[in-house]
Amino acid sequence: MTLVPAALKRRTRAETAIDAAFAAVRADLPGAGRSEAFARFATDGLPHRRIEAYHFTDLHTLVTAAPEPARRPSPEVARATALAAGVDAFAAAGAARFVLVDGWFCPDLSDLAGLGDGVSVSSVGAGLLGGRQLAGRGLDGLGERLADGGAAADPLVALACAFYTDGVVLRVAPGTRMARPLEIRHLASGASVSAHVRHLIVVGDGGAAEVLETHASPDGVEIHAHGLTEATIGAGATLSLVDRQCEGDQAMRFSTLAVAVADDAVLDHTVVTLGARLARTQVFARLGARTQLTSRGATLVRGRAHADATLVVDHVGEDAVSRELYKSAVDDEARSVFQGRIRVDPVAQGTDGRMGAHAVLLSDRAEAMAKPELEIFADDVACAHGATVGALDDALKFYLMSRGIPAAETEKLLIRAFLGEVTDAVASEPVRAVIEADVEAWIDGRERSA
Amino acid sequence: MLEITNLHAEIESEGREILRGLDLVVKPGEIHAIMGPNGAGKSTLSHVLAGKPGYLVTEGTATLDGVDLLGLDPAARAAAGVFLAFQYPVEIPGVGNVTFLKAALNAQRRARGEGEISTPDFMRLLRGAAGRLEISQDMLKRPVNVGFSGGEKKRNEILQMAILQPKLCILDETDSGLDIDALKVVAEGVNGLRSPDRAFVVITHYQRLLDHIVPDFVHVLAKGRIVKSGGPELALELEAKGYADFAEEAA
Ligand SMILES: Nc1ncnc2c1ncn2[C@@H]1O[C@H](COP(=O)(O)OP(=O)(O)O)[C@@H](O)[C@H]1O
Ligand SMILES: [Mg+2]
Repeated sequence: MTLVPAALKRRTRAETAIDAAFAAVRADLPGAGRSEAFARFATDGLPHRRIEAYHFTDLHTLVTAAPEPARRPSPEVARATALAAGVDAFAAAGAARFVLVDGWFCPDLSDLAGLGDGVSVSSVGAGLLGGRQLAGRGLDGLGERLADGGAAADPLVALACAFYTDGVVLRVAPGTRMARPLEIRHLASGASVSAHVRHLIVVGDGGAAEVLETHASPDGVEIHAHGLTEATIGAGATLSLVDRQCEGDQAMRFSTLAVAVADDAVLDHTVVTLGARLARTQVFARLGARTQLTSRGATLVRGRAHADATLVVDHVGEDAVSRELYKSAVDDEARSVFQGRIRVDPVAQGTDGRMGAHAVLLSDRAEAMAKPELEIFADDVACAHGATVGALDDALKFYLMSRGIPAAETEKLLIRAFLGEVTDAVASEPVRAVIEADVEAWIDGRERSA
Repeated sequence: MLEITNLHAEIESEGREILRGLDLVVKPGEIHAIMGPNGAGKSTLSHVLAGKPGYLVTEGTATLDGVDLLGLDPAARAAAGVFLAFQYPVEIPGVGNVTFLKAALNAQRRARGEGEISTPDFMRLLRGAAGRLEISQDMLKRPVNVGFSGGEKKRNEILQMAILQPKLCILDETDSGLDIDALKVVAEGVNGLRSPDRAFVVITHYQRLLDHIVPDFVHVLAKGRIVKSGGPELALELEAKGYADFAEEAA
């Protein structure tokens, strides 16, 4: 086999479209580092299966087109979009609301009041206005989280850094607790566009923040939604992050969280994947001493959807505890992928890491791949991982049916029970209720019974 | 009530015949004990009646009040009045015991065209039955059978029976794994359910249970058929002599 230099490889239709899009929008986009970021993407293009991190999610073949970057929606379009999107599920959580349409912040649709003293929310778009330098415009620290670890080299991160238009900057002062959660609500106008959003979350030492993110778009429209969240959790601080992905059935969603958790800090992370034809959620977490990371995921996919959750958890301090539990229910011809790597630095003695990935296949043609890995360079650690893939247990089905519960209802009970291990662990009652309703709606939407 | 005629059944995957022409008639209000050596086919009979997948009925019939059981799926059999207390109840993580019981009762009621039970009525029913079977609140709150001891699982089976009020109760070695006190609790639970229009088929390997649940008839099941029938004295005779006369031929 001869190796073709990457740069000389023939560009796919999607890659050609991305190249052209960048050339077209480059001049209009403020902010530093875009060309460098794009160069990182362009060298190798969309990652294919021979790139280990993309072995099961070959974007080179799965991404066949690249819609134009979205323009800022008019106020009328924004209002109509919000109206069409209907009731905000997280309203019951009493959250402040930062609304984006096609990746652009819409202040008129947002409600940022009452977050409390010491909590500031602004838009990345406003920070970018009027200058190419990030510092001094409210964007200080953007990009810092990408300096190390896998995020720096990731092509989806590079794309987000090249194209981003807007996003949230949330800063919580040291010792401050947010008075209400912040919801980031991503809506889509229905145009087939690419949206690129970048968020910055900085929780000061001893602070506490709660962020609820919802991604929604209509069925039948191919949008490409890129998101990159960079978060810094200060010493002893707490961040709770919920990422609820309800994209339409033709959407492609790529989300990356790059987070540094300082000593004694806590990150509680929940991802619910309910939609999109192609979804990839990446987490790059760097854990300091005595930190606690919980990352849990529920993936519910049907049709021909492909959903990927890829985690890289880097223990770089002593005595940190990390718990990752990802569960997928996979129906029809859908596919779920889990890749998780716990890396334990030589200094990270006393690390306690546990990672589990479990999938239940609800049809003969459903597929699930799980690849949990441990890379341990310290000797005094307790790390474990496990993965299972299988159908619903016939013995359990029979037991439930033998008590009179019909086949279809039996499956519902068992799917709910399977995902319950993830959903039950969501601490906030109103948030848990939203997620449970999502799961319920998905289960009710299964067309086939037994 | 229950009429089994010339029932033949094999294990689907192996084509091995286990039930070989079994006949049994059970009338309302009666208690029938089925005894027999290990491997005789007692559990297989209970599974075939409850509709467990993996068995193939090749000949014969089984009806409950004239309804052909073999043509129904397990849920429909339950709604028709069949209940099997399993020899080995499974654990169901994530499904709460109370949720499960209520879902089962309401599913059966719906299938019979009855309305759903109200929550207060259900809780009253549950509290009463759980109290009689010495089942704690904690056991009710836990997922079905998860972390239950062998005895707790068996009591939980009887609790389900008490809530679901079936016509035909089949108990498969409910006594195995029970100490004498637990056995008495279970037996009292079963006796409390005796009624003129309910019948019991009690499968057991040992006579002990039958001191507490006194049968009207005792049958010996061996090599896939009923080979001997009698009254309670037959159980005592078997206890004294063992199953040597009926032993399976060596494999
Ligand atoms: N699902 C099954 N797969 C294979 N063999 C089975 C299965 N169920 C029962 N058998 C076999 O059928 C025979 C009868 O078993 P069973 O009905 O459990 O006997 P008993 O309850 O009287 O002890 C045994 O030889 C047993 O090994
Ligand atoms: Mg048996």
